[in-house]
Amino acid sequence: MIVNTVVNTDPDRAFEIFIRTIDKWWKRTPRHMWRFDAEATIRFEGDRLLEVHPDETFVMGEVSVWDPGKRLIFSWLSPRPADDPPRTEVEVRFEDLQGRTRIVLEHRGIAGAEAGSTISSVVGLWWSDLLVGFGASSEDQSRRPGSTGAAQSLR
Amino acid sequence: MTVGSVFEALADPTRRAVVETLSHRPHRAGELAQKVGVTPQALSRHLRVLRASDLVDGHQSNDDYRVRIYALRQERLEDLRSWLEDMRGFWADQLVSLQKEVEEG
Repeated sequence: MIVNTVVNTDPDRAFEIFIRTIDKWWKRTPRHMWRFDAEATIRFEGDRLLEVHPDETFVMGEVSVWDPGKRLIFSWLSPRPADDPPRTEVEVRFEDLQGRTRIVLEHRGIAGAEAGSTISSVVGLWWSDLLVGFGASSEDQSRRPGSTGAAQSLR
Repeated sequence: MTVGSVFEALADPTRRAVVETLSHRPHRAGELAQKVGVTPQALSRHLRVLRASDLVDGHQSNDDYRVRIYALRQERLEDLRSWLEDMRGFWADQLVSLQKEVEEG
């Protein structure tokens, strides 16, 4: 599925704010946290996205592509493997709109692009716009350019 | 039963073909194997996985008790829909919050 928004700044700054202030803007919701606590710290550290509690730290995802001002790809590890696919992938792209930035966030499934299109056709066509990105991760992994794995540390 | 198991079930191309075929209408096992282009034995293996994920249900035909009819389970499709809706809402909220941070923060 794809969601996007346009922000009033250039891609470099949008990317920087995304990373640096994630603890400020990230909305804590019980359904999508490893342990719900509105005070938990959310931050990128090294190549990981972390949910940090005073006594415990959870890995929310692992960064595989870190391309400042352009895109970020990280795995999304479900805190509820009983309810979700356990490991999916999130790609965030920062598209230059001449001074503004379109931030496109694509959450992809584990089962490949074809599974996404199957799901969209059986779940209903009206749903397909939400499903564009579902899948493709397996294909992307093989053709992903510069899959650095070595995301820069922020600290 | 998890939405995750549905994604796993759909990772296989034959099972995707089965699901797409069943999305038009329920089918007998024989015609399903023919349409999908696999042997009845292979189909039976795939149907086991699909039934385990609760995406497909098999019941005896009213006309002939020896014949099984397979159909998609609407409840599971609803589960998928609501899962997708939930994830989409989650990410949309995050982007709205990020946008506020960029423009006001």
